[in-house]
Amino acid sequence: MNGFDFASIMAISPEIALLLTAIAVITADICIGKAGRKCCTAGAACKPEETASSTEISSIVMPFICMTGIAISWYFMYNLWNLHAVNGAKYFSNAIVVDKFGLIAGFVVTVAAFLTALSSTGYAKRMKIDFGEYYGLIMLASAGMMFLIKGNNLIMLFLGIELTSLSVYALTAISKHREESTEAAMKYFILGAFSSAILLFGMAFMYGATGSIEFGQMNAVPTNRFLYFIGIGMMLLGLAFKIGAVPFHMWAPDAYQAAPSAISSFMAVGVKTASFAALLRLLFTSLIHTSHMWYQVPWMLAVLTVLLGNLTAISQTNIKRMLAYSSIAHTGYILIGVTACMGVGYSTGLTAPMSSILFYLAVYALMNIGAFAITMHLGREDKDFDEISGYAGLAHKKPLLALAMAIFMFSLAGIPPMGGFMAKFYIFRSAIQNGYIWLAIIGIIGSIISVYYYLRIVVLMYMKPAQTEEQFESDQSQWGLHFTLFATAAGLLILGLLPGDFVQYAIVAVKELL
Amino acid sequence: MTDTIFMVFAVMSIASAIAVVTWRNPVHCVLALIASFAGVAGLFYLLSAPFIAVMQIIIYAGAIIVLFLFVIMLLNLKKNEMGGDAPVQDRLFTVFLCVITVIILSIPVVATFTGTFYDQYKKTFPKPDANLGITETIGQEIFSAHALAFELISILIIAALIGAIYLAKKRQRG
Amino acid sequence: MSSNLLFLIIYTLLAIATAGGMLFASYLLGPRRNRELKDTPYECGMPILGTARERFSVKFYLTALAFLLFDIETVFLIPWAVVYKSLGVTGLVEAVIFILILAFGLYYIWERGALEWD
Repeated sequence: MNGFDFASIMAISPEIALLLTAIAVITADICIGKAGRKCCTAGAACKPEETASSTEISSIVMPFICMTGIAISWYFMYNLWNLHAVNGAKYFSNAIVVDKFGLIAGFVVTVAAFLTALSSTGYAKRMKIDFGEYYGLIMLASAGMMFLIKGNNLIMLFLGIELTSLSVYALTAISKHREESTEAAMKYFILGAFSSAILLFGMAFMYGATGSIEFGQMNAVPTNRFLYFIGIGMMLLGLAFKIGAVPFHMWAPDAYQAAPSAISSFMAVGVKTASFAALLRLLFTSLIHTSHMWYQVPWMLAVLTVLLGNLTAISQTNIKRMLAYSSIAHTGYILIGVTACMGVGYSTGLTAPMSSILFYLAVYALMNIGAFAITMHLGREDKDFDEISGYAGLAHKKPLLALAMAIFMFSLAGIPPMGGFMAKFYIFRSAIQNGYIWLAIIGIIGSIISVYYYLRIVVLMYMKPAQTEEQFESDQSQWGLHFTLFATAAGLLILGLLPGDFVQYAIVAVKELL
Repeated sequence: MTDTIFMVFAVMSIASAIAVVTWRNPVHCVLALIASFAGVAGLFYLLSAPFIAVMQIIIYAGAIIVLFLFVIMLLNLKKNEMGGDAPVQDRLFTVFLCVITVIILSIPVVATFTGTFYDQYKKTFPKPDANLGITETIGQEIFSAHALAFELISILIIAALIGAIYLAKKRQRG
Repeated sequence: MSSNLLFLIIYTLLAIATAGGMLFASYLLGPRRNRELKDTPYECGMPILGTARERFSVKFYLTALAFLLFDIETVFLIPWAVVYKSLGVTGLVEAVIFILILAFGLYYIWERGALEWD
């Protein structure tokens, strides 16, 4: 299956759908803008309301094009899921692999993209970023994440990471009239380019040591341990940067704070899910046979990330920055799961931790998007509502919003009956089962620390009076955000109360990967 | 013969790389960088990778250097705007980091090509085909085994283009 | 390999000799009248205001950027051109997809006015 035959095209059909959507949305923006200008120049005098109406139209149409495209890609993914013959099959000379693991991770990524587009319906216009580029780059980034998840050799891994990263750098700076956005994007870009270079360098060493770039083929015992060792080290460093693990997390707080909230949540959820999927695929299909060389790395990263992320989050006064540190901490919990995968007798004990990682990523997507959506909902003009002290008294003015926020905060903190509790429960349980009791204890300590800063917001909302009368008045129709909030909150409750089905899917998916 | 040419290219790339970081005038630094890239291109040629050598010249010494020059002329910093020299301890620390990096990266390379490892290495990886780096082989490989990666590169360029043009271009609505 | 290298070296030396020879010849043959007025850009007319080292417009940068990206496209098409015949229709289809995707990039920068100068 080398060329562009029908089965190969079907194997990447979800990605093709996303890429065509990106092209369609940018073309739509250009064409509608041009039509508006044509009306303008044809008439005797330029009527401002005509051009205004054309931007109005494009800012309404574009998110719908995106959502349609994502729905089409879901249809293709559903087809692939049902096509039993292709499970675990490799296409394009083994460049990509289609399996249920990748399909689930890809579904999480596209759900994140869908919710981002949905919540951007009114939001992008208010933030003055309702350009075709905004939606186009979101679609390109999701396509990159999908390729990253499906990639089965080092070249696809690198191209997926680069497509994702380049789009996300530009999205960080998307409100280019704001200086801090540009500055954060610049920092993110320079650090990210360095980490990509290191990753690529590591891949070169890896190829030199094993003579192959294909995931399944690199598992032969290397002839040259020095090259192999340095190669693994550099690749893990590059990937640790992408998932935002301490000590490679410096970009995250600045980027998440300065980017518009819709992009922050998309960045946190999408990049993390895709990078973790690629990391798991790389580690446990190719490098597991040499795990004695790198088994120290995941637990060290996990301990540092859980503790530092949670401790730094306490002192934040800006909620987006706090959520950035919380996302670092959540990376740490997932890394505990990765460490658990390396526990005793990995061929039997791998299913539980890996399926719990998939479950965790899905739950994290919902609660993170929900929490960022609140800051979008309450924001005014071109700002997000990001001061933590501003949330005082929210429950008295907007009880439903406060309830949603409380659900997200409880879930992030891992308090039952929310999805976040079950996700943490599965991760810690698998860590204990595979002999990492002490690591689970560190994770639980981290969660206890996190309860403080998450519940502080709940306390502010319910027990403090509002500072001013009209501070919670939002000035746009926000049905897209309402739907996002409802969907994420309901999803968290469902995943918290009835996690069984999804976990079953995750277990099926993981069994196929191994 | 080849050794002499190797020495010429190696000295050329390293000496001009040192010039890039030590010279004062940024435009001179960029010119030195071109020399460095040309030296590296020569090294690629000696490694029987002529396609990479040409790529190095066209993309790095050609297009990327133009971007460097434009950035320098775009900013056009005066002497007093450059913010003066870094403190001595900072510069020493930088030198220290560079030396450490060189040592760390040299270890595997030196270890690979000396002693018992080299014997093992030669056994597992026979001397590569002389045709491996020529453009025909690369063309065959790209369009058969790496066709998807090839198409993805165009998507990658599109993403870079959209991001860069969006950020650099002033946009008037409507 | 070594004969190729020899040609390359001869070529390089010839290039250097040509460029250097021209410079040297003009140094040798050209008239030299060193006066202060000779070094000014305009011998008669306006006295100079400021230096020529002004800040460049960002428009140059946009052009260079588009050039870089399409330069990379060209470099990737070189191997295709070299083995075009043996690849046959498959190669043609792959290259056409590649070019079509990048043609969208050209359409985009065109419509966004990155190719205009005003």
